Amino acid sequence: MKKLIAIVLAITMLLSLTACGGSGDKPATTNETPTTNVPVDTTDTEVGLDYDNPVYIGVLDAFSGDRASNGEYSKQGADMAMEYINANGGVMGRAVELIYEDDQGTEAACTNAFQKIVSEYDLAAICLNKYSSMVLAMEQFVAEEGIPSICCGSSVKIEASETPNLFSSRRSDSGSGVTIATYCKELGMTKVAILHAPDALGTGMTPVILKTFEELGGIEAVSVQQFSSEEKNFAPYIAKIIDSGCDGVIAIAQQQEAGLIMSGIKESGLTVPCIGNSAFAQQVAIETSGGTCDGWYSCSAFSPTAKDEPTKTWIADFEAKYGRKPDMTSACMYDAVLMFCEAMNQTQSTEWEDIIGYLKTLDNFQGVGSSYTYSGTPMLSNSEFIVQIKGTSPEVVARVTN
Amino acid sequence: MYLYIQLALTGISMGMLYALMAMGLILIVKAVGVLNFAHGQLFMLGSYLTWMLTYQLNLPLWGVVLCGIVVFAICGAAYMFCVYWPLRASSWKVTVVISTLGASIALEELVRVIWGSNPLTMKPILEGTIRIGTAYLSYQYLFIFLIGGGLMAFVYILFEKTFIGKIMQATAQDRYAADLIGIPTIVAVVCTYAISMCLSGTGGWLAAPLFLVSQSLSSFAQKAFAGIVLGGFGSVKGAIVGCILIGLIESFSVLVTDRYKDAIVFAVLIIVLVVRPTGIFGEKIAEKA
Repeated sequence: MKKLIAIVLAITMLLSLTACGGSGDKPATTNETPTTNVPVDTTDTEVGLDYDNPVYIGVLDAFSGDRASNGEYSKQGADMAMEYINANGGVMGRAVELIYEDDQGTEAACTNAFQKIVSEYDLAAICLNKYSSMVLAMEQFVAEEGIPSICCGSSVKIEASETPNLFSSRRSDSGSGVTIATYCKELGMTKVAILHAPDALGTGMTPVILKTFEELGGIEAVSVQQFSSEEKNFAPYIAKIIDSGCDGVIAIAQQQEAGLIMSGIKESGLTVPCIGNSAFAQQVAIETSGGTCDGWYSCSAFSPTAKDEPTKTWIADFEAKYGRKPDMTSACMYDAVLMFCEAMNQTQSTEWEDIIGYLKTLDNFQGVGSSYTYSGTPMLSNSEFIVQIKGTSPEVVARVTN
Repeated sequence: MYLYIQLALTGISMGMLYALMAMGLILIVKAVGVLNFAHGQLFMLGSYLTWMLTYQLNLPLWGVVLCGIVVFAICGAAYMFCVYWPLRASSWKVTVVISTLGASIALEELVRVIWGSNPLTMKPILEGTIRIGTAYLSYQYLFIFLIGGGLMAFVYILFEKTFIGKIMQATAQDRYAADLIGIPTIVAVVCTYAISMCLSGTGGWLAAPLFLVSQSLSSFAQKAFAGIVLGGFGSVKGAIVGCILIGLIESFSVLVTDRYKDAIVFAVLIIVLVVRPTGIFGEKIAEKA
């Protein structure tokens, strides 16, 4: 019996450890699956590239946990970038290989994941995820390591970061906040209810919106609510929004919550114009809203219906490869990998200082999500979209540039 | 006025969902004396299984209900044989609890491997809402009231009024003695887990159209635990009342503060426990025992 107990306990602990997403594999060699959590397709190898001495770029995102759906989009974008680079001569004749590490989508796990991937692999650069709270949790370690890092976070705190090796492939929430507030005015709103997330995104963007309202005049926030972390039941908040007598709603949330907010507002019968942050126009939110997203506006870093080149062709390629439209995180991750490779090719160096130095000279680098310019802050993107969801398709209404 | 009606409706509805989960938990506690920390994951598994029956096997509603009960019962029994049964005689009683903690993580990852990490959508049993002024209630919540209420009555009668319920309780109180007097304890324990999974799975099925089919559905367990403690640990009636109170506190707390909603729920829980450590129905249970 004791043996049986020991075996069951061992299996249980093994399952727990596996589920925790940790990876203890040795560093990857060329054409091996580089890390445990997400396999990389390296079958499309380009003849002539040096695969024995690849350039490693780390990708840190959620491949397990509640935010794993975003990680899938990120990985697909990064994989496409790697294939594109390797099909076009690689970096200084060397193949690019992506090393994935699972940050589980939590602040607690991401710092360990960052330290693990940086210590285990000889990385030239690293791409971080889109959750600002997590990026900020890792910032101290990013600064200590000095590795060139591009995240997809957009918090005002990231914008204010003085870590010299940290960049973002997004426009800042302060810019998006101004865009949202200004567009509310254009939509004719005068009494706005704001519902926002408790994370860095929500708490960073909301004050910017309120400040912009003051500056614009003729528009006020009649209700400002912050929902709880991991909230699922939005009915009480929506009841307060209805009670506030607002003529417009601003919602700031991550994608899963965005889907629930859109369906909750539809169910409540509230018919005022609604605008959300970037998450509201992303595929996960649209899919989870169950078709209730029709009519919503969003200030989005990326639109899968963009008609400009090279974005349009890239979207078509992505859809052909993965059978679904790309998400903002796919585009941001694709562009981040491209920017690193451009930096290494231009400087003919994989030294961290050289890559960082090049990124600080970026001027209108054309990616698929945006064009990128360094203007003294970590935020490299200089444009975003106002989109309106028609049916389940976010259609571009306007493009906003710095 | 309508705001209060809305908050009350939402609170009671959420409380009913928590209560469904709590009842399953209480059943296991009463039958085998073990707190199942993977109960939220069983709730989540229920939503995925019904999604599979509905959208992957394309069964009609009656088929989903019938097959769902069978599948839930099998899953409950399998869960018992994997997580509880091999460790039941362990001299260190915490072993089973640790096993349930491990199972909670394993179940989430299993679901992710099978159905992926993207949240899935499920249509409600009946679409539409009832409106009272600006207050509204989705028909899905009515089904939660009806089905949840029916299941609660079933569990209460099962444990308090039937011979099978007495067998389950006897097994929980002293399995050795139950064995000696000829009670088939393994059957009693299997039945308990099967019924518990049916309750939680049904809760997951009812919650899925409102809150998506996703791994994070398991987070409802926190509120169910709170409801159980508030109502009086070990009491089915207490769990139901406690969970509905938790739902109402959670809902009305937005009138005081939105950002500390969950903190208010657990602050009230702590206050109640300080004033009345046995929970609302705790004393009656003690007297009964």
